[in-house]
Amino acid sequence: MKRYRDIAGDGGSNILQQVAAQRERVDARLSQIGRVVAVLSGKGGVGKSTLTANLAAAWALQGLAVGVLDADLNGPSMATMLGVRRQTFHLTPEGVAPAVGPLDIRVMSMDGFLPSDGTPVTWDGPSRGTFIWRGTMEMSVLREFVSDTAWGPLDLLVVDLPPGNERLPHLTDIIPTLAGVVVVTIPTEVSQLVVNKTLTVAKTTGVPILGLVENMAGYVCSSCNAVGGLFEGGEVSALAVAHGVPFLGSTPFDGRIARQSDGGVPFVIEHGETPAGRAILAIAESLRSVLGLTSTDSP
Amino acid sequence: MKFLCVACDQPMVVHENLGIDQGAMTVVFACPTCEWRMGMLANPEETQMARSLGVEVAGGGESKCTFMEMIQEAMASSRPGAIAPEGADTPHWTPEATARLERVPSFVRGMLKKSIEDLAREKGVTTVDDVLMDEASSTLGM
Repeated sequence: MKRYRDIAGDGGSNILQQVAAQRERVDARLSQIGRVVAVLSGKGGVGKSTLTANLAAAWALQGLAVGVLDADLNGPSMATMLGVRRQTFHLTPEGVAPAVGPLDIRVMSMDGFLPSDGTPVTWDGPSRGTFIWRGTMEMSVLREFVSDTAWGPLDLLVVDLPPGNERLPHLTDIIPTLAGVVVVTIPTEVSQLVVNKTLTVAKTTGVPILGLVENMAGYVCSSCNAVGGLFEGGEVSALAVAHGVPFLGSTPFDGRIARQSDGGVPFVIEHGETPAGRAILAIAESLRSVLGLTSTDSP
Repeated sequence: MKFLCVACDQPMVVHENLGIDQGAMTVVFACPTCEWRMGMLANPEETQMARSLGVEVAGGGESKCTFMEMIQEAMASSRPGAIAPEGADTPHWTPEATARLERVPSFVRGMLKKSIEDLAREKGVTTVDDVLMDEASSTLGM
């Protein structure tokens, strides 16, 4: 009697053909995008999304065409941080046009699909066994965000991943050509303990780790720009060395970063000359160099 | 998942997809040699699993070009009009409104223009003028 592998194809269900068609749509869209970079941290609350918005703005300030994909489906924040919460997406023959943020940063976020601030993302489906299909549903939505958004030619698409380590392998399934990941931690021992695991997971995916960023490394006085202590913790650069990945730098906390994020204009646009602004711009410049990007790289 | 006709040692093929009823999918498979048929009755969780992949058993025959189909169809609660239909009119800008927009810092001009045009569509007006700009000033925090 024949066994599973003796039968070619998918038994006439056409599912493999449909999955291949989905793959082709993703590939076609990615062919217009120079590099895709993900920002990741196993630990929540380390400023990952804030860094994503500011890196995107820093690259846009450098003349690059930048898009931001908010992969945090259940806690989307990119629409707020990039000032596009009131925008409507528009259907075009090429796909769904993304929202347009400062410096013409193109943004796709689940936030735009939710009817109110207090509405969580929920899916139609059987109430039992949601653990069986919810992850698959979210993967499919992420795939649609990549393939069905009319990003246009981009130098860089930055993906803001939700906290946790499990999303990166999912993202690499959708975007096998991911150029790399930026891993974020804060100085505390707790954060570094979690991010230590994040770095291990990232290495197992085979995606290049572009480097580790230490966020909230000290506190900037908004009056005199002096930097004082904030968190205790071990040397983050040592964690980078232990994993053999680049240490990209430290960014101090500045209260204006939060205000700018809430206001929808990334901090580096208006405060690039401050200690935190300079640190973020330097990280962006370093990453741009590693990625081999110039503003003329648009495909 | 593949089905085999044990008597003929032949892989069965999809004969008919009877669709989804009360969340459960029914697909009829047939042996191409002896024509023996069997029904695959998936429970709602299994049906939902296939749906979550964005595929349909025996589907995909016609070329689909619906964008963000999964998001639009599967969200239990979504913002009406989150995606404006193709060809939604672009409002006309009066010279006065254009001049006001040009006084806004360049790094936010693009996003503000789109937000104001969305506001115009929301209000059902076809022209962005001083009156709408005044309203946008308060609602969009210009």
